[in-house]
Amino acid sequence: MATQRGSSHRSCKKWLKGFLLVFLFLLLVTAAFNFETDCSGIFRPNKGLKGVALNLINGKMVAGYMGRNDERELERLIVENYPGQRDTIALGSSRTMVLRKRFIRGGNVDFFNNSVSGAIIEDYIAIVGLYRRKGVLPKTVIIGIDPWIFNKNNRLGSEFWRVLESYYREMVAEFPKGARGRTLVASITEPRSDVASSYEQLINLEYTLQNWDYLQKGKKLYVTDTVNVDDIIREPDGSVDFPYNLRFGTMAQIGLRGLPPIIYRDFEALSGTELFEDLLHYLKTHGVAVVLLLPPLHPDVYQACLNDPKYSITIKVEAYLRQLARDNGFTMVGSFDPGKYGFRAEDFADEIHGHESVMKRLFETYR
Amino acid sequence: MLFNSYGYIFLFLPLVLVLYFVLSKRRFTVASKVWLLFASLLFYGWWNPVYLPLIAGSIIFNFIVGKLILRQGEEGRSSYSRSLLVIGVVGNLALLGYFKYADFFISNINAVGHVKLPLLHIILPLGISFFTFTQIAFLVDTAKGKVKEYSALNYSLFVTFFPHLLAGPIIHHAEMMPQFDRLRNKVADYRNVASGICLFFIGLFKKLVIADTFAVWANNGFDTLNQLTVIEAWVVSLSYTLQLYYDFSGYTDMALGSSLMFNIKLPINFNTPYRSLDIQEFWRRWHITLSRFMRDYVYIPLGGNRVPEWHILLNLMITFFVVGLWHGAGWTFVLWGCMHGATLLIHRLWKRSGFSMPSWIAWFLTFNFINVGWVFFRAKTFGDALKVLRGMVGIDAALLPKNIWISLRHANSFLPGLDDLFGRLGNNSRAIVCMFVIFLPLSILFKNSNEIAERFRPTVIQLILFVLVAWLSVLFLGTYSEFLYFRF
Repeated sequence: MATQRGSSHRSCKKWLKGFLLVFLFLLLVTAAFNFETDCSGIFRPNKGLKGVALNLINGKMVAGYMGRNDERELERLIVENYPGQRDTIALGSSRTMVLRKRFIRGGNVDFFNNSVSGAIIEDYIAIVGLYRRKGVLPKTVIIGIDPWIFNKNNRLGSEFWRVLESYYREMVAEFPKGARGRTLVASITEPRSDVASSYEQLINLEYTLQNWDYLQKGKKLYVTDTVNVDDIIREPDGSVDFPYNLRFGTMAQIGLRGLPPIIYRDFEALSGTELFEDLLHYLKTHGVAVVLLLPPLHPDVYQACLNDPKYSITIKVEAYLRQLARDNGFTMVGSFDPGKYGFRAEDFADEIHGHESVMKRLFETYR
Repeated sequence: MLFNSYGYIFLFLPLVLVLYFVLSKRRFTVASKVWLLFASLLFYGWWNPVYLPLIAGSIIFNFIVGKLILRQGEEGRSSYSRSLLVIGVVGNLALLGYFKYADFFISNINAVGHVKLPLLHIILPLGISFFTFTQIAFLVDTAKGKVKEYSALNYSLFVTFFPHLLAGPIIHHAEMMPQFDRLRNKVADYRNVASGICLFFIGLFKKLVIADTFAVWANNGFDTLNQLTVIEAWVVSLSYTLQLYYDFSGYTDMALGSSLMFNIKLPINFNTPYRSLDIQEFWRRWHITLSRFMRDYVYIPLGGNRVPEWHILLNLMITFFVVGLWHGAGWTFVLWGCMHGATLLIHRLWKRSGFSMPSWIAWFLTFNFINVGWVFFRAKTFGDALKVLRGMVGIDAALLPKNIWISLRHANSFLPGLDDLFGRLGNNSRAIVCMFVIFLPLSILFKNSNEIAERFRPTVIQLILFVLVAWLSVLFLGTYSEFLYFRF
């Protein structure tokens, strides 16, 4: 009996060793693959980004997938390497990316679209911080606003802004002290180390699949002469042409899935308004004209915002922004309500992204 | 700290395990227990250290009350110890009531009395329902003379032992305290470590790969869409039914697996519940330790089966009213509990009448009743529940989505595409079909994780299988999710 137990003990010990060895080996291989491929430039900056920035500054178009960290790093390189001062810039998320130079005053303006995917208020501040540090604040800042940037539980993109964290900190240091400012950072970012969260990507499925996809398609960032490419294209004005499914897709093809829970999660009250107002106040006091841009939502989604208490906060966000614009004399363009401009379902690529025609029409009367 | 976190898997658990057995091997028995207690408190405090004094206070209070009851011995058990027991139970319930039910109580007063008392917005401390119930059971058994002398260290470890602390299983002192003292348990048992690891990773896989996938479709249906077609509504309700099972049983597997590595066997909580042929069987297979607690500390004290029939039925209803309320401070939970109570009542009458039905019909009825019940359990409001239920019976919307007719007009085939059927619920309609085809039968027909872990053999095939399960689960770790039962 004792011998039997002893042999079972030994075989289990051997099995355990084997398990740990193979398991750790697999993890190591996965980590090495992700570290080496690193399509989003999480572990080391994408060496090609400076080239992308220079190409864009020199009026060329660049196509190809870019990770969210790289997007922010690219903004830094563009601002640092651009020789002059911009008249107008746009800040915002993917919903604002289709705002193009030619839509604004017939293109007779030195415009650059600094929108980044999954932007939150910290991103806005950090990007303005890029211009501030170089001493070239633009004359006008168009701020594309998504309702969920005021949701403290919005988990979309809540960490990417840290790529530009030093610029953000410098900006916040100039905000009024006391009750205002810095509140959102404390409330939405978890007390975790940047480095740790980055290195978690080494053994993350989503990142592994992204890297695999990246390798499979052999996609690198490349210069293109035409927008007729089924890829993400960044134009010289910083605006973006999405891949064909988003660029030309209609709701019948994509299917309405409602508002993504990840951004409307527990969105019951407005957060971060003080930080946002601090930014606007900073711009105003430095002589920068502010334009608040509200890209519309899909008509069915907006209907849900009207009818469903879970999303009704959207209406409150717009009311808050309109009041803010009135009180401070900011220009207001657009509305979350697509009906105000007569937009229909066909004008949208999905629940929250309008086609470029939407942006074009919004800016027809902008002077 | 969450079981499904890098910190727990790669740092906390290995470190605590190794140091525990190193101390035990060198015969530092007390030190090894202190280490385990410290680790458990760290595990609890990781989420929010503010609640550490709360759990510490609760342990000290119950320890002292238990000691005072024990001191009365046989003679004093009648009146003084009963008073102490009442104080102890009321104290525990007051704590639970304040943190869990205060806002529910206030909002009901506001609704009934048309007043506007401000809500307290108290954050529910993790695991409070579990450690409170564990300690109430302990006090009751102490008053009944079922508890022998115990030390502060053993008691604290029994309450806080990290594998069961946050979401159960609800443990009983009689099955736990002796295990901490058993000498054989002080030596690392590689068989237990190996099967514990297997059970842990089965649980992690159930949680991250299965439950969280179903969660997307359930969340979209319950929280996002305003109206559901018949097919969507059934996909949504079944998604939640499977999500809840794989989530909670996955958590329990991780708890049992972690504990087994320390040679401590926690009671099983799930035994293939969706295989049940009647509602009584379901409650013998679902959240077994809660059913056991409710039977021993609510149903039997109310009179159990030793009272007239009408009283038994009333006891059943009261017990399940409490079960509903235990799960959450909301009327949807109460309704869910009462639905189960009423069905148990009907089942009892049916059994007494001597009628019977074929097994497959019994399974079908039971499973669908449970599925409908979970709709109330999941919904945040009655409106959300009714939306799904109306969809399931096709009151609100057509059988098929509107855009299916557009597709049919343009398609060469008369068969609708999967995206037309489920496209609104998630990005990958094929995944919905695959997940149901694989994991619905798996939850009913096949061996459950406890059976798999019990029959663990150190073979090469099992090694390959479990390495793949572990590797895949770890890759899924990056996605944010919390366990459903943390909120109860």
